[in-house]
Amino acid sequence: MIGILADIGIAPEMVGTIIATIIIGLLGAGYLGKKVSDVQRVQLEIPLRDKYLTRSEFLEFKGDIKSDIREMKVLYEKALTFATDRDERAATDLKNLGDQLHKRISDGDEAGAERRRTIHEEINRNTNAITRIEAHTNVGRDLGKLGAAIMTLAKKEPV
Amino acid sequence: MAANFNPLTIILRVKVREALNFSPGYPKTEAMVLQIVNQLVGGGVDIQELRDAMEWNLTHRFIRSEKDDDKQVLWYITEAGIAQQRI
Repeated sequence: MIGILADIGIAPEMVGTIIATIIIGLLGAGYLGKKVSDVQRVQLEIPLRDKYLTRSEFLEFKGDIKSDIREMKVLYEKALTFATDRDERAATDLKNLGDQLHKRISDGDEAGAERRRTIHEEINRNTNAITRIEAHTNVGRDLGKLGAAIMTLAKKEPV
Repeated sequence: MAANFNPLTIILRVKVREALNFSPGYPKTEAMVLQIVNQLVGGGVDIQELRDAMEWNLTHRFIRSEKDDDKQVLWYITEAGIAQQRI
């Protein structure tokens, strides 16, 4: 194409200028796409709606929330203190109850052992006494003698 | 009756007599017997188990007890207990 333009007497340096001129012309005529409109410098204004909070109302609302949070924290601390005290009281009561029960069981065991010891000692004393008596007497022999005497008397004087 | 076949129970009965057989003429309190038995068996003896063992020995007249002037119960080994230990 440059060769053709050179033949008709157009210098190569002018080729770019001519092509640019043609493109601008086509753009202007709308052949190469939609024409871009110029953006006008217009200040955009968005009207405020009545239901939106104003800044002062929002700050007041924010203050109320902070106040509520503070009150809730105080209430939470009170509830926590109450619960902690109650738990400590319950744990102490439970420990005291356990100690009392343990003492009662231990005392009962000790008293039972002491009573059983006394009973066993008494039984042992009686057993030893019976053993001593048996060593010095012969109940069977004495009973035999008594029976023989009775029989002798019975034979002498029949009933 | 199954408790009678517990090896620990039988060992404790023997160890109670063994504890009282140290210096047999001198009585010993329950705490002293517990201490000696713990040393003999390596520790861990429950006071109730010890009392059961002492009661068994008492019923068999292997040991005897008496109260001293301070109302403290003192335990002795009897001649039958010494003889039982020699078996």
